[in-house]
Amino acid sequence: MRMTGMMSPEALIPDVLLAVRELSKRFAGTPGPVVDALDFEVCRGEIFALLGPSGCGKTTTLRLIAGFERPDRGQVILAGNDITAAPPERRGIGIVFQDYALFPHLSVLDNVAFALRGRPRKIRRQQALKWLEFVGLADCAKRLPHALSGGQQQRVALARTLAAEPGIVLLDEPFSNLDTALREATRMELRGLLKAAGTSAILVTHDQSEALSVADRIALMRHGSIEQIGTPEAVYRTPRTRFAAEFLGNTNLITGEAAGPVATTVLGPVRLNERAAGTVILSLRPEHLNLADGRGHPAAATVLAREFRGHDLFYRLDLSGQTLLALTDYRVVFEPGDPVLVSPREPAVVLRRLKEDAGGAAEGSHQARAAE
Amino acid sequence: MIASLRDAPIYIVAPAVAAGAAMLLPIAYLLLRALEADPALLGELVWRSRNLQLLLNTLALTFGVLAAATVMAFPLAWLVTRTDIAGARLITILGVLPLAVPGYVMAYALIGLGGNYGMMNQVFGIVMPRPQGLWGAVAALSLYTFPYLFLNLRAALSGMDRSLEETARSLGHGPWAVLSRVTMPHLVPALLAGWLVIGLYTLGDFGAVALMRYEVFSYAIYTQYAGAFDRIYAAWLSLMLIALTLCFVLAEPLLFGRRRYARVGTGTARPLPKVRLGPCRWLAYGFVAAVFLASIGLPVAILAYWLNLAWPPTGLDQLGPVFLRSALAAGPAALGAAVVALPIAYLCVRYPSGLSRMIERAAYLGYAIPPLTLALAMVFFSLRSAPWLYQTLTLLIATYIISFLALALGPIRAALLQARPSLEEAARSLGYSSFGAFVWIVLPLVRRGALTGMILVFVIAMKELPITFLLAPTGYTTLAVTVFSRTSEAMLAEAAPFAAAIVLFSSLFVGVLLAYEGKR
Repeated sequence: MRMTGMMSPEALIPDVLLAVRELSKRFAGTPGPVVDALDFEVCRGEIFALLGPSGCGKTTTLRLIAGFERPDRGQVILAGNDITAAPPERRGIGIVFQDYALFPHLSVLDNVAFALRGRPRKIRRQQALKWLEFVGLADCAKRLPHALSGGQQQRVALARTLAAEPGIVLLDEPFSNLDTALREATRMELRGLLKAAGTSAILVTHDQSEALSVADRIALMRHGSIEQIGTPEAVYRTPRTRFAAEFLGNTNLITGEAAGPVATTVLGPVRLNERAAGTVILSLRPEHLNLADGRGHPAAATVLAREFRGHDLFYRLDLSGQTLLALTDYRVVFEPGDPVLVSPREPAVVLRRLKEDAGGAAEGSHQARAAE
Repeated sequence: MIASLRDAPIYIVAPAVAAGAAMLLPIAYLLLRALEADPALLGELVWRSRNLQLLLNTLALTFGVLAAATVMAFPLAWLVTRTDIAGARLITILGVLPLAVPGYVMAYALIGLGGNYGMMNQVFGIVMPRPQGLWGAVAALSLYTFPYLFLNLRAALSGMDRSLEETARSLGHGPWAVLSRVTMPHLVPALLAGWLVIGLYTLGDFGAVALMRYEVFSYAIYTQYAGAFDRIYAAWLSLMLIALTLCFVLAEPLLFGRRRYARVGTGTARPLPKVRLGPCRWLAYGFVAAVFLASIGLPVAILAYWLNLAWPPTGLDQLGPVFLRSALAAGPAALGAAVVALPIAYLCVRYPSGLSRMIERAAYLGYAIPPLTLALAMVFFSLRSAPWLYQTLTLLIATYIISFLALALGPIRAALLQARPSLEEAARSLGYSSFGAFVWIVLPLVRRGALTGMILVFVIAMKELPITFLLAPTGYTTLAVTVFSRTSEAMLAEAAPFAAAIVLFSSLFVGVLLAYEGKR
C-alpha cells in the first residue's frame, strides 16, 4: 500500500495534478484491451472530459484512476505520488457515480457527514451543512435521498464528494440520469460549482455537447486509446481524424486533390487549414457552408430537404451525387428542388489518413494515436 | 464490471466456505454410515422388495398431495385474480392461513374427527372411521401445503401482462386457444415452483405420515432407527429418500428450461380484465367455503371441541415451560442462520464465481434434505466424531441452521441485490476501508432483509417436529414434540392446548409471509 511512491518528472511541472502513464487494462473474455496504453495529464483546477462512444473504455479508465480496478500495466500519478497500487480509500480521489450512490438509509446531511471521518459528531454536522449550503441544498438536510429530484441528488453527491476534500473529482456520466430539460441547466451549474470549489475534475461522457460545454479540455477516446486531445474549440474546429470529425457533430466529408494550400473538390477549389499534397479527405462543418441562389449555374447543388429548427435552418443538398449538409441562419430560405450555390466560409480541415495508408507520416505525439 | 473472487475480503470468504463445507457434513456422514454395511448384506439391503413398496407409497403420497393441492389452489387463485368475486382480499388471507396449521396438527384434527370418541360421533352421532393411511395423509398434507401453490399462482396470474392475451386475441386466437397457448404456459414456472415446495415438504414430512400410519420413506426411516435399531438400513433408506428428493429438485429446471417469461418490453403492464361470474358466483362461493371449512374450520372446530370437552386439560401448566423450550431453541437458530447467511449472500451477490454458486447450492441442499434424514445424519456425526455434542441443545440449534439457512438466505440476498455496488465504492472513495464500508453501508442496508429471514427461521423452527424429535436433549419437550407424542398415544384432549398454541403462534408466520409477499 504505497501512499508515496517515487517522485516523477511530472511533479516538477507545477501545473500537472494527475498524470496517467501507459495505462492498460484487459478483462478476461474480451478480445482486446479495454484500455490500451493510455497517456494523459490533468492540470490543477482543470475540468477534463473523457469523451467517447459506449464501450470505448472511458468508464474503465475512471475506475482505474479511482482504484476500483487494477491496471495490467501503467501508472497513475497524483500530485507527484505514484498511487497505482494504493487502495481506493487512500488515494484522495473523489467520485460522483452515474447513479449518484447516495446512501438510502442516511439523511442528506448524514450522507455528507459520512465523508467527514474521524471528527466529532457536532463538527461533522456543521461542516456537512456548510457543504450543503455550498450546493444550495441546506433546506433539504433532513430529507432522505429518495425524496430529492435527480438534479438535487447529483448536487448532494457532489457535496459529499467535495466534503472529503479530494485531490481530484471524477464524474461518471453525471447527466445521464437527468431528463433532457434539466440537463442543460445542470451542466452550467455543475461547472460553476466545480470552478467555485477550485477542484480539478475528470468527466466521463458519451455526449459530445456535454463535453464541449462543460470541459476545459477534451480527450476523445476510441477503442481504449485517445484519438485526439485539446480544448473543445480546437477539437471541434480542427478534428484530426474522420472519427473525431463525425463524433463531435454533423460534418461533410469530401475528397479532394490537394496542391499546397488549396484542394480541388466537388465544391471547386477549396482553401485548406494546412498544406497538403495528393488525395485528401476534408471535413467541412454544415455551418461553414454558404448557400446562395444557384439559378443558371451549371455547378449548382439541389435542395433535397429543409428542416426548420426555429433559430436556424438545416438543409440536405445533393451535389453531383454527393449529399451535403448545410446549416444557415433563418433568413436563407430555399425550397426543396431549388438550385443553390455552395461555398465554404472557412478553410476545410484536412483529416489525417488512416495508419495503413498514411505512409511515412509519423506521429508527432501520443495524443493523436490512430485507433485502427 | 464483475469483481473476481480473489478481490473478496477474507472475512467474507472464510465463513462462507466454512458454512458451505458444514452443509455437506450430514451427507458425508450418512454415506460413511451406509458404507459400513457388509458387502454381502449391502445388495440385500438395497434390493429389498420393501424398498420398492416404500418408493411406490412415497410417490403415491407425493403426487396425491400435489393433485389435491392443485385442485384447491388453482381455482382459488383464478377467482381472486381474474374474476369479480366479492371479498377477494379476504379470500386471499384465508388462502394463506392454513400455513398456520402444520401437517401433524392437521392430522391430529382429522384423527379427532372420526372414531367412537371423535367429534362426528359425539356431536352429530355419525360414526365415521378414523382417517388413516394414504388418504388421511394426503388430506392432512394437502390442506396444509396448498397455500404455497396458491401464492405462486396468484402472483403469476396477477403479474401477467394484459397485452399478451389481447395480442393473441387480435392475432385470431379464440379464448380457449389463448388460455392454452398464452395463459397456461405463463403459469408453468409458478406451477412448478409451487409443486417443488409442496413436493419437498411432502417427501420430508414425518409427523402427518407417522400419525396416519402410512409407510413412506421417512416413516420407515424412523421406525428402523427408533424401533429396530437398524441404523445401516436407516442410513440406506435416508440416502434413497435424498436421491428421490434430488430428482424432484433437478426436474424443475429441466421442465422449466431456459425460456423467459418475464416481460420483455418496457412500460407498465396493464392489469387484466376481470371475468364477470354472474350466477356462477354461488358455485364459486360454495367452493371457497368448502376449502376453508376443511382447511381452517376443521382444525379450529376440533381444537375447540377437545379444549371444551376436558377443560382444564391435564398438563396445561406445562404449556409455559414447553413454549419457552421451543423458543430457546428457535431463537438462537434464527440468529445463527442470519449470521451464517450474510457472508454467503454477500459472496454470491458481489463476487459471483463457481465457488459462490457451490456454496449457495449447498445451502439450498440443506433445505431440500428431508429433516428426519438430516437429523439422523447429525446423530451419526455426533456419535462418531463429536460425542460431547450428542443430545445437546447446541447440536439441535446447529441442525436447525443447516436445515433453514436457505430461508434466511433469500431475503438477505434480495436486500443485497438492491444495494448497488456503487454505494460501497462511494464509501471507499470517501476514505473508508472495505470492512468499514461493509459495516457502515452494507449492514444497515440488509438489516430489514436479515430481520425477515430471522422471523421466518424462528417461526418455522418453533413448529419443527422431526429434527427436534431426534436431536433434542432428553426431556427437552417442545410444543411440536408434545403434540406429536400425545396424539400418537391417543391423548387428544391433552394435546389440544399445545396444538392450539402452535396454530396461534404460526399465524404470526402467515402474517410475515403476507407482508413479505405484499412487498414484492
